[in-house]
Amino acid sequence: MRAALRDDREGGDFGRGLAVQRRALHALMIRELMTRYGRGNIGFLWLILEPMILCAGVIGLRYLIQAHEEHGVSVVGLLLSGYMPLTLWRHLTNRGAHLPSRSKGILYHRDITLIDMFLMTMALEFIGCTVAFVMNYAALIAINAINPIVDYGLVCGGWLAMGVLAFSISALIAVLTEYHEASERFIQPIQYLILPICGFLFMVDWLPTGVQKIAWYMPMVHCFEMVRAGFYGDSVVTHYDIWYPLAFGGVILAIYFPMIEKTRDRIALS
Amino acid sequence: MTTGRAVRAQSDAVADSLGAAPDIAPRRAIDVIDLVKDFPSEGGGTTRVLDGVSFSVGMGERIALLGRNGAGKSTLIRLLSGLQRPTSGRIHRGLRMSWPLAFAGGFEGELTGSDNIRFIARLYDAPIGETYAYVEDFTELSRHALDMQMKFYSSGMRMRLAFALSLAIRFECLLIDEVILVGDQRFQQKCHDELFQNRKNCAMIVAIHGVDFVKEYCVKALVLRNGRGRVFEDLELACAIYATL
Repeated sequence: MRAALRDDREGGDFGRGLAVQRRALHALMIRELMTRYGRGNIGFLWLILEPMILCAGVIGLRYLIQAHEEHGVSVVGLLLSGYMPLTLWRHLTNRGAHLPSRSKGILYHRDITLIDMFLMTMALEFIGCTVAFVMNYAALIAINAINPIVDYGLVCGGWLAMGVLAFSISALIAVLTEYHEASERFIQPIQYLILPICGFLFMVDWLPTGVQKIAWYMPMVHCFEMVRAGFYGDSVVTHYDIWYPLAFGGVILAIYFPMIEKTRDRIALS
Repeated sequence: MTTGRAVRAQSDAVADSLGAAPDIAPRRAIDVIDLVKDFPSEGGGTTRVLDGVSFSVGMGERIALLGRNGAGKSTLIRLLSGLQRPTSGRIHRGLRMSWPLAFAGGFEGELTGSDNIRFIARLYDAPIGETYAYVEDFTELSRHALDMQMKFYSSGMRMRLAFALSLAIRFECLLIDEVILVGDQRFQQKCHDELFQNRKNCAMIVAIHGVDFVKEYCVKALVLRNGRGRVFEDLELACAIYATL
């Protein structure tokens, strides 16, 4: 199917299209890696250091005010299990805005499609955040600041669900920002409005029953709850359903993912 | 024309080796067939920017795109380069076609010149060492300059690198948008020699305003007006019509 998209592939057989695809992704991957993490800038290091600074600050505060636990849960663990999925969410969704216009120059190389650019960007962000998560977890375990994860499967599940959700919203943002210039102005306010209700700062079980029912509709909440269920096991009560964020993301992707390639016509106008 | 014969002889040879009748072998060319491009206009509706444009260019041929600003030249270049897709009609790229020559917009400023060379070589499946050597030689940029991040390049250096890179990949059809001559005089001469002597067997599609160039170097011209285009083999006539637009 990709071969057919590339009208210059004469007799565009599938095997040849696949080879072109592999080459384009390989070249782009190296280019993106070098741009963001290479050439003396420590972009990648910051990705790991940033959550560490937060955790270090909180550990410091904890000693100062001697508040070791919140609702019977360690504060540092709560932060790591909240802040890292939030980092994943932020990094993926932030890259979506105007991704097509920012790729304009490179699209003159016919073998590269907007889908390639989108997938590449998202894959690298996802990998970067995952590595940052693992490094931070390892560091906090090493200094004995948190207890080991109880259920790795649940942590991975919640992490992946958050990835899928952020990926889909990023596709939506990529399309909307190209079609409606003003939409970009809504992204940051909405991101801030989401912050207190996304599950980053609370666990569903702490909420009054009425509010719990509302929180249930927020797809991000399910991801945070899953990660925390993995972190704490049976010692806390969690409420989640992995299918809800996945289905939510799936529906958004089904609508907006195919539209990414169509934004080509918009980018030269702006 | 000798080049045309040579190409035909070559394709005959290919056809013979495949055991097919020579006249069935397709002519290797860029064929643009009935190209239409609509853009969404303000307040709904669409504007037709290109309306049924057709032309063909084979090896050794140079076709000029003539037209006033707004006639659809830039849109045609964007469609040819693949940045945008036609609304209808098709572009059959039977030759390996370049991106717009000396186009520097695809460079990533955070990367060094060398990184960008390697990226292009990887993308177009060209040997990295050879590509690098060619660019280094053609641009006459020092290794130190090539290892600088491109955001620190002067526009002249960018142009040199862009030009050399588009020639380093062995394209059969070169897409040239206005900028034929870049850099200082010596570099201009070098580009000129490279294009019109060393690459005279390549097909070229040249968007240009200078009619002298058209008469000297092109075999035909596509005159564009309000999105409609007509191909003239009589270049005097094409230039005369262009002058009246």
